[in-house]
This record gives sequence, C-alpha cells and structure tokens, in this order.
Amino acid sequence: MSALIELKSVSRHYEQATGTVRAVDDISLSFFAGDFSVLAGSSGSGKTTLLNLIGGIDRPDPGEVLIDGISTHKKSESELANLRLQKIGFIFQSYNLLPVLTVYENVQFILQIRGIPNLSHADLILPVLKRLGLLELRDRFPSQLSGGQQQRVAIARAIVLKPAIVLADEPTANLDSETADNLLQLMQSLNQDDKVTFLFSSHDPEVIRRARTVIRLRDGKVIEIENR
Amino acid sequence: MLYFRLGFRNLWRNPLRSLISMAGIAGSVFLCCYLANIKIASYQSMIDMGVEGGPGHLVLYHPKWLIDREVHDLIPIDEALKVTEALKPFSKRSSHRLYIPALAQSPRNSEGVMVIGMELQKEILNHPLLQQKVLIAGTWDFLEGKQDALIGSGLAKKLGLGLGKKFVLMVQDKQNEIHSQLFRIQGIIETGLKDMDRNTVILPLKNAQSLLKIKDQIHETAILLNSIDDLQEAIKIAQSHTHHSLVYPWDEAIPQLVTMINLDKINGIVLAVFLFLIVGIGTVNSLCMSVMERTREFGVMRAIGTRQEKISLMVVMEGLVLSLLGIVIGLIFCTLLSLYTQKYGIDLSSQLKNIEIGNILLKPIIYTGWNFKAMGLISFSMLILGLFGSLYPAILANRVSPSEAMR
Repeated sequence: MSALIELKSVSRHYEQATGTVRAVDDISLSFFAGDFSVLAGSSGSGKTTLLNLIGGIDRPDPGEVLIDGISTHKKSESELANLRLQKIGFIFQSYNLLPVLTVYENVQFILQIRGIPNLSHADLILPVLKRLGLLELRDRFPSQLSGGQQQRVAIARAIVLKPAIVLADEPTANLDSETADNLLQLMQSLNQDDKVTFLFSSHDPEVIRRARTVIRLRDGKVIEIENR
Repeated sequence: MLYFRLGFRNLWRNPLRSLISMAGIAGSVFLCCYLANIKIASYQSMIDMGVEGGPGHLVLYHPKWLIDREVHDLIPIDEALKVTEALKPFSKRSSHRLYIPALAQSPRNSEGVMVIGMELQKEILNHPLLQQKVLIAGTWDFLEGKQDALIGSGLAKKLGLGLGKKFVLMVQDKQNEIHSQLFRIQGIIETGLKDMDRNTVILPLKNAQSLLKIKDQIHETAILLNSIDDLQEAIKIAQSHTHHSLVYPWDEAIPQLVTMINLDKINGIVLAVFLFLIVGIGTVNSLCMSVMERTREFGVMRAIGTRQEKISLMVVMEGLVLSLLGIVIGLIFCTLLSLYTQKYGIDLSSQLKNIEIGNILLKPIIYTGWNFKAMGLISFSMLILGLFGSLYPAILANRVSPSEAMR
C-alpha cells in the first residue's frame, strides 16, 4: 500500500535574533488512506509547522514532501494551491470561515474556486450539510453560529470535495469539552463510515485518546510513534 | 457571482469607511454629470443666442467677408432673396444686414462705431438683443425716416447726446470716398452687452445702404431654420442658388463661439481629471486598509487552495462594486437635480444681472439639459478608475503568505 503523504527528512528552520529555531528537525513519516492520526506535543513542539509542511502551505528547508506521490518540492505557488485544493481539506483552530458568506456559501466557495459548475453545487453541498447536521443552518452567517457549529461548517468545507486527507490544526482548542467530544465523534464516524482520512495536530487528551496513531513531537523532532 | 456577492458583502464589514469612499465616488460622478448637464444647456443657450442674434443657422456672405470683413465685400440682395425663398419650407425667418465701420461725431465728442443696418420692423420682433425691454428711451415706431437711428446707451453717454439729438456718421463708402450724413437719435438701447452698448448704431437697412451709397446690396443674410437637423440639406439648397456669395453653417460663421465652448469643455475635463484622481486615491486607500485588516482571511483562502489571481479578483470585485454603487447613487442624484433644474432652473438674478460671455448675453438662470454621452463617459471612467484603484490592493492581497498569515 503506497503512502498518501510521505515526508522525507523534512526540516523547517527559522532565523531569529536569538539564533536559528529548528521548528521541524529532520522528520520522516508516512500517512496512509484511512488514517486517523494525531501529531501530539506541547506548544512549540512543531505540530502546526509540520502540518503546514504536509499541507504544502509552507516549504521545507531541506527535505521533501510527497502528497499522493506528487512532490511539493519544485511546485510553484499556483501549482501548490491547486494541489491543496484537489488533495487536502483544512480545518483550523479558529474555524476561519468567511464571515460574509452563509454556511451554504462557505462550503460552496471551495467548489467555486475549484471551478465546478454551479448547477451541481447543491447536489454536492446539501448531502454534506445533512450529514453534519447543518441543513437547517445553511442560510446563517458564521456570526450567528456557535463555535461547534462553525467548526462543523469548517469540516463540511474540508470534506465536500472528498480530499485525500483532511488536516485539522487544533480543531477542538476553542470548544467546550462536550462540543469537542461531539465533534470528534463526528470526525471519527466520517473516518469510519465515509473513509475520510484525518491528520490532527493537537495536545487535547481527548483527540489523542481517539486517534489510532499518535506521533509525539518535542522540539521539532518525533520522539514516539504509537500505533493502536 | 459568488465573487461579486463576496465583494458586495465585504464592503459592509466596515460600513462607515465604505460609505465615505462611496460618497466620494457618488459626489464626483454627481458633480461631473450635473456640470455636464448644465454645460450642455448653457452651450445650447449660447448657440441659440449667438445664432439668433448673429448669423442664424446658415448665413450668406461674400467669399472674402469672413477673412477681411471689408466694407465692399457685399452680396446682391436678389441672390439672398432667391435663397431665402428656396429655403422657406425649412426656415423660421431670415434677416438681411449691413455692417459699416464709422466715426460718430457730436459737438462734444467722437467715437468709432459699428453701424448695423437691419430690417428693423422684422428684427425687433425676433432679435434676442432687441427685445422691448432693451429700449430705455424713445420708440421703435419710426417709419424708416432718412435720419432715424438707434444708438447704444454707452455711446449716447460718450457723445453727450440724448433722445432727439443729432449726430454725424462719417464712413468710407464702396468707392473709398469719405462722406458723412446727419442722423437723429430716435431710440436709445441698453442690451447689457458692454461692447454693443458702447459702440453700436442701428439704422434701418435702407438708411444704411444710403449711407454707404449702395442699392440692393448687403453684407449678410442670416437664415434661422425650424430645426438644426435640416442644416445639411438647407446648405445644399442654398448653395445651388448662390453665385456671388458663399453659404456657411453657424459654426464656421462664429468660430469664436465654437472655440469658447471647446475651451470650456477642456476646462471641464481638467476639473474632472483632478476630481477623479482624488477619488481614485481615496478608493485605493480604503481598499488597502480593508485588505490589511483581512490578512489572515486571505491567508486562509490561500491555504484552502484559492489561487492568487482569484484573491485578486475578489479585491477587484470589491473596488468595482464600490465604484458601481457610488456611480449609481451619483447618477440618481444628478438625474433628480437635473430634472428639477431643467424645469425650474436656478435663478441667480438676485446676484447677477446678466451673464455676458463673448458677445453673447445669457439670462442669469441656470437650466440643465441632458448630456447622456458625458454621463455615460463619466460613469465608465469612474468604473475604470475603480478597477485600476483596486489593482494595488489586489496585489497586496495576493502576496499574503498563507503560513505567515496564519501564524
């Protein structure tokens, strides 16, 4: 089985006044279709930087990232954007929905930038909104939703195009424990029933408890990989 | 459509800022379009006054008249009558005139004057400068007596003469002989045109011909048409009846009026360019601020796969929507005010007695017309300005690095 995401000796260094910060230091990892994995570690351990490298948002200094067998190494900004659009869904800690668009339009936005004809938008969006319990809320704006509801919209936006992998950066950090739990259950069922692959970065014990693979990071290095 | 909606809604995230920018755009569109509507009406009024008081829509002159204006550049009245007869179906009226430079002398003073010979009974009914209220002393009702003359109030004052007093006109006739003739002031006029009031003597046409020692000859036949649309056809007909004279359309006969209008148009364009420049800077500033406040949002958009050009398109859409709304508001205000001033005008008579432009007298009431071409051009230019004004903010937005924006 070939890896969906492959990291080969990936590093990311930042120059600061105090010296070079090794946010990610020589990491090699592979993720496969159907994974429900978490990058765990304390603040500053390199989780988000590694997630950004995997998602092609950032570029490694030395090293190579392969997404579905395609190297991001020599891709232009435009090619990387296209790759992200086609292969990866993103969920952010602060939801990051477009505040001027409704729930439906936020999900539609992804289809629009992908260039999918308007006629098929409803057929793609409505089942996803239904699956995530957002059908009744489709005409509301993000400001009219709770944090949990906003994060569900972010999930809908991330999965509507059926990406190869969904990267979720601290998705429960801004939610109360009950909402976070519901959301994790939802993502777990999407993983199990709809075969959506998830990779989290989190230090939330509940996320770590539910993950099938836990990759522990410290100071930009992998210190432990736990498969359950 | 989604980008357009996005652009529209983004504008209302900071309504005050958008409203201020929009007000700037609307204000300049309103100002430029309203001025264009005022100008087109005032140009029309100037042309009407210039045409009615001068050469009409088309005019017959001796071929050399417009070049040297010599007193012997005369045309036969028979030929002029043939032309006016042929143009009867198109014309409202025609006037035959003589223009004679002369020296007016009184016991007290002498002054260079322009003697205008005209068919007074006909002209006083139609000539815009000879309406009843310009006659401040005397009467129109003289029967073309050989000594009768009308003079301007300024000239009367300079010569120290009043109604009924006599003065001498000295001229050089067609044969270059100098001779003089005695006239009596039967009326004093005050048109409001300083030049005309200071140095004009109006004589019945026959008296003027007698002064010049000519018969059946004139300098000018001015023909006013029922509709300016018939001008080209009327010119063709007139040309087919002329041998000693040339036919000129009004704009060739009074080129100074055309030049004045063109200069005024250029002034208007310069004003509009400056106004648009200021509005353009305001639009760029507003959009730049809006973009800088949304750095993270653009970062997220790029992270989820939005290409840079799409982000630019979004910002350009905001600029276009802002401009479009401003243009529509500006046009609505311009239309409403133009409708009002087209009907009622803006009466400035309490501040201004008369408006004198060149040798044309305008009423101190400002009316508007409809300059749809200028309104369209102004709106289109503002839209283009909105487009260009949003380019720099659009570049700023697409340069946002997703990883840095989200850090």
